[in-house]
Amino acid sequence: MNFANLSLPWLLAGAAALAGLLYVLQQLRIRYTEVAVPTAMFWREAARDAPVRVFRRRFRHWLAYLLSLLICWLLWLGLAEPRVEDPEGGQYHVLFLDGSAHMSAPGDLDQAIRRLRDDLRNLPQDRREVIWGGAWNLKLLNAGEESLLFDRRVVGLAPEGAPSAVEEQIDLLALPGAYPEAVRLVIYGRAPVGGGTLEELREGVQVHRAAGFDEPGANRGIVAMGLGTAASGRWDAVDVLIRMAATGDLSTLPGDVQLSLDGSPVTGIAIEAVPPDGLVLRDVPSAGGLLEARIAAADTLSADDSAQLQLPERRELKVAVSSLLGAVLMEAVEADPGLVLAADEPELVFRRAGESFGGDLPALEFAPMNEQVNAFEIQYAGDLDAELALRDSLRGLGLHLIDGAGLAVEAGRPVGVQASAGENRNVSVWLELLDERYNFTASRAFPLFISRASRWLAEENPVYAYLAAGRLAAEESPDFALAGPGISATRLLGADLAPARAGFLESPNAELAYPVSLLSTAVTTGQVGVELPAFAPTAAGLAGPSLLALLLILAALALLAFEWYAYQRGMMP
Amino acid sequence: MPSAAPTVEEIFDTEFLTALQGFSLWARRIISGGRHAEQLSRDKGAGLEFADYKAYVPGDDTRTIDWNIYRRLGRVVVKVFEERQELPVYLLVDRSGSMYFEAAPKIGVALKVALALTSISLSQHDSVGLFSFSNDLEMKLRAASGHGRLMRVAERLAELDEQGSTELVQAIQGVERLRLRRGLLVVISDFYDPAGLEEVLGSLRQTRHRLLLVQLIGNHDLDPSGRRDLRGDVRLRDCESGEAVDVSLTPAILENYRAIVNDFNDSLTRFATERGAAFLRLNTDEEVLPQLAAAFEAGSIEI
Repeated sequence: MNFANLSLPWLLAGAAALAGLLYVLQQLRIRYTEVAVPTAMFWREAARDAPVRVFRRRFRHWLAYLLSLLICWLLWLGLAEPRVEDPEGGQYHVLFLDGSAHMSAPGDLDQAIRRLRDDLRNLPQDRREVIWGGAWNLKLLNAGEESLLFDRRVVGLAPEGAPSAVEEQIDLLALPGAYPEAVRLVIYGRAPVGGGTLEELREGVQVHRAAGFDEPGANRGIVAMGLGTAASGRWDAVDVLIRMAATGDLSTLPGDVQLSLDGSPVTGIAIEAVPPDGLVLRDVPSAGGLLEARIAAADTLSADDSAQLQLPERRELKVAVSSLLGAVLMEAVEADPGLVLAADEPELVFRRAGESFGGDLPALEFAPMNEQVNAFEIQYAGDLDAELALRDSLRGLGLHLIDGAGLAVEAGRPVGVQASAGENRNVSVWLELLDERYNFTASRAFPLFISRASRWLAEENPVYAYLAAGRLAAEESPDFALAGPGISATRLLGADLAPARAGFLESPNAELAYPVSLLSTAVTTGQVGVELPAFAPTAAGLAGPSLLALLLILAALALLAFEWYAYQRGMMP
Repeated sequence: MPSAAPTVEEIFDTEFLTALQGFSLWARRIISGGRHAEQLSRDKGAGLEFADYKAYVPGDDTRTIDWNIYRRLGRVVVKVFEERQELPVYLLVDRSGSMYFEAAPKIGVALKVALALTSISLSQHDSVGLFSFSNDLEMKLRAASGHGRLMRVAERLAELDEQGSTELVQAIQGVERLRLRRGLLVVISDFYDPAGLEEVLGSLRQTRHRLLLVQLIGNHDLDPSGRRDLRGDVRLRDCESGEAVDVSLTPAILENYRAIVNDFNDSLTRFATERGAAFLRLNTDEEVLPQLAAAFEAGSIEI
């Protein structure tokens, strides 16, 4: 037997509470009926040895109490709506309410909620749960929780600007031990499911889709927007790729896209069409700013009508080089168009270790081998784990390109890299590596190291090629990976950065906010994936309050009538 | 629930009074001093029934000399006859609140019994006086005889109305203070004096009169379990004093109550036996006449 409206623990807890409540009420009940008698003198004497019942005195009316308790229990049981047979054969149901951008059309989510609510009423309470499939998959109703809570928790929910994560939920079902053997996922919405996902399902797991969701209407939107190194080779510019998608008879012409930078229309930038549905913006200046692409579309889905991108800010860095260092460093700075030699007001300095040149400015220092254990010692600010910092430094500073083995042979000692936390950023390198015999300054890694070390020391912000909802972020600034404000938090957790939904992604200190766009081909084109079997609870489950519940309530009413009769006849107090 | 007292017409039920004609109240011996009537007096004298012989002394009525004895024995003796006199009957009727309680109030039975005893007494040429009591004793009629008296008694009885509480002790003491001629004091009451039965019996022991106690009791007084309103937790309010007592009614308490009422009744009966008083216990929820008939089993009650 199971209960439609209450779980067994709640039923038992309620029954115990009723018993306790009635007992207390019986104890407290001192409602005197006033009766006039001529024989009060006898009553006074008769009651002298048996005082009236008062609070917490002897409990007297056991039969009356038991009758009242029986009536209350029957009503409580009727309310719980017991069901002898399980119409779904003991299967566990995961009801997935799609709250992704697939449900953005007006009325879609309301329809899904109505369907789910109807089905919820007909499923065993202890063998079903509801998941909200928005930007994250959240448990909306646990197994055993009252169905009434669903109505309360669903208030205020709206489709989120994110692709569906239903496949993650399906993957979770497949995990051994995560769910009962026989489990059925029912999707209330258009969240697409790939065929590959279904092929990996374990035995006993079924995926259904609630019927009644028609094909979405024609739509078009931006499905990709990202930046890359400028094909022209300019260090201070990037190329931006924009791609569109459309369904029905809607077009994806490059001219449909409106571009703006920090709110102003973009001008003076070469735009190339990339057939069949893309365009490239050439040499967009890396001067920072928010680049927005918007496509006018008279469709029901607005989340994909625009996309935004934070452009990198690449500026010339003023570098001062100590006279105690060799000319090779001067040459490296002069060769890098992003670096400018400036004796006055430099932003960072190259100097020998222990030299006072540049004061407290960020510095690339060179120390004699006999004074420094490791060839490269990096001091970073912040609370990043040292191991992570070291790992990032290899790529971030281009150290992975160095011929470490050759340097070690030449130096006659191991070439190591050490990262440690400190108040300011600092990079310290063996001074001897500047010597020609080490072949470091002549290697292709040297200018890269000088360039990246300079920009890291100048604390430039990280650059992301794109930030799309539900997709891993692609970072285009490995040289700043050691302290990127957007990644430090996620890397501390050992996770990759994947913004959940469209909007803005703030850095932990809230100083930076990167735009996140929907950029989902599946959402824009209304992909439904593999066709799933429709879900329909059995007819037995659709039959409102059960007959058994009705009988219980009738029995309670009959007992109530009997109690009244007994009271009137003086058979009970 | 107080009820109205019966009217004269209701009390003066000729059919009822006719049925009483065979009943009589006989005192074993009454104190001399009254006029001649039918009650056996302690005095010997001019009655009709022969009682004894005694030696003649000067002053004796020579008409009572038994000449046959003188002729045979040569002694002069005179016949002594039983002298019959009237018995003063004092009716003391309870008119307290408890007598007017419930749908079938005790006062109805009380008045019928009072009129019945009046009728019986008057038919024996006894005199009947009427008192009522509640908080105070009130003389309604002086003791007098004569058949016309019956209607007057009925009228006075019908005038009685509910008044105060049962102060039986004071009423008996009040009657005693009146220094009435010794006779028969008929107490018609439920005897629910708040002072307690012992006080009542104490005062009855002090009275010079012969006693006829008429206890009126209802079924609900004897066994309250029949009352529908007596269930569970009740606040019982005395219909006379208004004092309340809170009771959680249980079978045990009901049993206790019945035992107390039985003790009460037993005490009253025992007192009557010890005192040589006549005692009538009438159930006010039953017909009066059959109960009286049972009490006057042999046609009379000797007091």
